Amino acid sequence: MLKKNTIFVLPEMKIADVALNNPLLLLTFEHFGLGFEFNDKSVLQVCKENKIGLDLFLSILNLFNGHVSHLKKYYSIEDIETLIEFLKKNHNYYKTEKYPNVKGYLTKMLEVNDHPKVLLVEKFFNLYYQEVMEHFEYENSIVFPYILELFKKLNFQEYSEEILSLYTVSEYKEHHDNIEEKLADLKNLLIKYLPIKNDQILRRELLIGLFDLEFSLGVHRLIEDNILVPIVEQMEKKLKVIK
Amino acid sequence: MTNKNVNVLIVEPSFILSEGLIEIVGKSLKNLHFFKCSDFSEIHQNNLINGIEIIVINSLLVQNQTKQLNALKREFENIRWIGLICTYYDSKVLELFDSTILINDSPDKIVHSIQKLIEIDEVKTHSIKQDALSSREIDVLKLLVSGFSAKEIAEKLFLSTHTVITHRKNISNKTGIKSVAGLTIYAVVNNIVDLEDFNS
Repeated sequence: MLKKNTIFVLPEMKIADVALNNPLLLLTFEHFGLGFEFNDKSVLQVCKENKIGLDLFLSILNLFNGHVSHLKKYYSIEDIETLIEFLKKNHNYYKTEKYPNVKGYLTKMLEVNDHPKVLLVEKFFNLYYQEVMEHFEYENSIVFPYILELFKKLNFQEYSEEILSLYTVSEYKEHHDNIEEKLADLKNLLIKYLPIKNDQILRRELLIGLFDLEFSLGVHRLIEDNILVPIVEQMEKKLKVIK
Repeated sequence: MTNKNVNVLIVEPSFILSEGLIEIVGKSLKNLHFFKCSDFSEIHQNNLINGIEIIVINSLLVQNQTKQLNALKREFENIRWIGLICTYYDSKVLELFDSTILINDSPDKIVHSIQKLIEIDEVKTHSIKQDALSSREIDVLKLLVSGFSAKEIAEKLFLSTHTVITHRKNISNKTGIKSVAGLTIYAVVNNIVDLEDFNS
């Protein structure tokens, strides 16, 4: 989980320095809806200008920098819309960029190494891919709308009782199935078991893509479990949603 | 730290010391199970020693029994020994132990001494782990990838469901692969099942 030499981001740091220290965070900025032209603004300034909760922003950046211990017990309910927007953009990135990218390496690898046993891995990947997409779809179409309705109700806005009645976040915790397991299996198969035939370079690229994906999905999950769920539980408690 | 259960035997005649130690350590390390006896000679009785991973023993009990201790250490080489030190000792006696707890150690230091030994154990078991599947595990794997449930496999192989689940766990630990779909590929690649069976 830990990445070497990544700084612990603090409010007064220049955001450009944060990006220079770990360029992977450019993606995180993007998912917060930020551009790249930071000049010499500090993290705090950027948060204020873009109405992003400072705690939320720092926690997520630091998670992507490999620091876990700083997570707070509670985050502000006011952060929920920003957070959901962020998670949706994450999903979209996986769907339209990261998975197609990894899939591309796999396809190229199979063009070079068409050993029948290696071809099985394509089926496995497709199965895994389908599961992940279903999981994202479930969050996008059931979990997030539910949470946004809760937020509306809490703010005395018009809300749909129907959406609220269909769900509670405790179900989400149970449903949070293990999409990381198959990814780990895939890595093991590629490193330990599948015979190599002219595909060494492509396999290396595929594996590095998979490790990268695994790290990013791991952080995504940490955010959902440790930031999203506690906020929703606070909201449910306030509205006394007991079913 | 994993949550693997670790069995700890405390050999200490003083009730205050043994209970105090359990109280202090048990608070921080929830995965420990404690067993108690009050004398060196009791360690061997009642099969107490089987399944024990760490023994904490009052060094007083060992002082004139170094030969017996060395014999036990040879016989059970996976056990880690911690000396509970209540008074000044010859360093030769102290060298017999993997670690020591002093009577005036802080709770943190005591917990740390034990935790360190558990971590060493984990690294060790990890590196000496055998990766080849046993023939029974291969039987289970064949049925597993053919789509049978643990219960059905148990019936076919005349095993208990519990045993089948244990085999399944060991298979995953050895191969590094957890999902049935992943294990299927493993089985095909290693010629445990035929590729043709799955293309149909």
